[in-house]
Amino acid sequence: MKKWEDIFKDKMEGFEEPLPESVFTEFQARLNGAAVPPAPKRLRWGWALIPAVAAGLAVFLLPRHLQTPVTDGEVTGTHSVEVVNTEPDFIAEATTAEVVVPPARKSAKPVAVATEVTLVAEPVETSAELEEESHDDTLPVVNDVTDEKEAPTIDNVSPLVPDKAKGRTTRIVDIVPAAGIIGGGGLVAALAAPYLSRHEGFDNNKFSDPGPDMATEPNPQIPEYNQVKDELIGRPHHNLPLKVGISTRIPVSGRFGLTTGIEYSMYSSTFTYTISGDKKQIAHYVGIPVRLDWTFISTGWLDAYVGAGVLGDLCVGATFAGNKIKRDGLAVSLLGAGGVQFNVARNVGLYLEPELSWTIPSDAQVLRTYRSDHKGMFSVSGGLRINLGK
Amino acid sequence: MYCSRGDRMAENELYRRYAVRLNMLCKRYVVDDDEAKDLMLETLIKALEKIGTYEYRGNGSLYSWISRIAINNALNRIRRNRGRIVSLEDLWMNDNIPEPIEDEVANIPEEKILEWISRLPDLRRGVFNLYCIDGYSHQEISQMLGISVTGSTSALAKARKQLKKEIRRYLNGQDK
Repeated sequence: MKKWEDIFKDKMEGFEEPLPESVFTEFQARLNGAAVPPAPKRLRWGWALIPAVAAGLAVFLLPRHLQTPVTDGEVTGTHSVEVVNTEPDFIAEATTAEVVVPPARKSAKPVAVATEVTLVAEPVETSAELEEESHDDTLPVVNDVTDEKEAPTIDNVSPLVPDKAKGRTTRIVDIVPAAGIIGGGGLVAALAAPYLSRHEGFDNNKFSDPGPDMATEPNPQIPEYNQVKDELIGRPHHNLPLKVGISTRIPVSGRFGLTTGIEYSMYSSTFTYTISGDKKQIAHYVGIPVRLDWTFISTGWLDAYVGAGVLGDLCVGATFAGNKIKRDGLAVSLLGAGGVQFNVARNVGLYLEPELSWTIPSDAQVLRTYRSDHKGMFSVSGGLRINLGK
Repeated sequence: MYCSRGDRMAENELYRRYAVRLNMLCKRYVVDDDEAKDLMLETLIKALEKIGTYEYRGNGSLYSWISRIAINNALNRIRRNRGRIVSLEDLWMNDNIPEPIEDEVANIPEEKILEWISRLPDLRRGVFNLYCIDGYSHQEISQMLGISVTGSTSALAKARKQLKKEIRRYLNGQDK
């Protein structure tokens, strides 16, 4: 009895389908030296140029931004504005200078540090005087900046990430469920996840508030104090990051592929001040993720994979209260992801990807955003992916 | 001989005799019909260019020589596309599929068989064609494809499993 493979062989060898006359015509044309019709354009190398160019830009820009000192004092990695102060500044002047305290301030949190402080019952200082005193220790009194010709002052600068030299301790890895919205090619939004864990090591009160009671419960008995100091109240409200991008996967070998692309992110935050109220900071980033993926399941319509890589995010613009501020530095994050991809066509798939990322701390990052407050992030992204080489 | 002299009638005769068979061979190796046609024409042109190197070795040797050129061209394309993800479908594929018997397979249309072969991943399709239909050994296949003999054996086993599954589905009426 014949094996089924042998029957297949016999059938295939005897199977013929007639060719149309046009094929013979094309054969003759080729014999006559006619140009071979161009092969169908492949997306492969053309699309690979996009991440290649993006990676090249990153390599070019990375050294520049790592070395770029932010020197104009607006937003600086060296933190010329020392915002870390655990005590109300108008009380804890650790010098022999007189400190003027509004009468009702005596009921505030007592100072435990300055032994030379003399409490003097004098009228409340004017704004200008307090501004001069507090120059080195706190955010200055906010003045309305009406003259656009003035160099941007610290008044218009959003609260900075506290200087690491101050010994602030933060939890390096604080996985906070978050959400991002990534639409590949304009498609598909990601899932949102509730904010679950608390971020304990980063106490806003430690660096920008005179004290928790003053920050959260302004004393109505001393309205003069509240009017004098325009200080940050409580924690900033960070909106969930918005991300949009396009992604492509380049096969490397076997089951390994390089996933890369270009990603735009927007981080917006609201800071509430005692006097000026809410102020909004918006920072725009363009990033290039590069990730090596291993596909462990692949059928005709479904791929499942895991991968690890890096993401470089460059701040391309930032505003605070509508005014341009110095841009943030380069942010580099480590990525770990897993996902599934539904192949709707030979080269195109829709993907869903939970991803863990951890932003490497850097002095170059000076804006306080969702990412600076949450080094570790969990996000779920989805979108459209172009598969090269399929 | 006439082909080597550029005799156009001889060249056309070459096309008339072998184009259809070559086209079917190419369709077994590449998935796309247009690509198969392009591969066939490329093979004939190349065969005419190298006709001076052909040595007659009996009946059928010319077709064997030309088909070897076609297979090499097809395998070059397969190697270029090797980045395609290897399917792991056999992870959960039933390993105990009974061998189809002769009577069952005899009535399967050729178009169906060709369709099933084209559904195989590139490597498995190449190995199955080379081993089962074109009669190459695993040693030769490993050299032609740049893989190990073990890899060739494994790819053939997976291809057989996948085709048996297609046969079963067809015989059970699931794929008419």
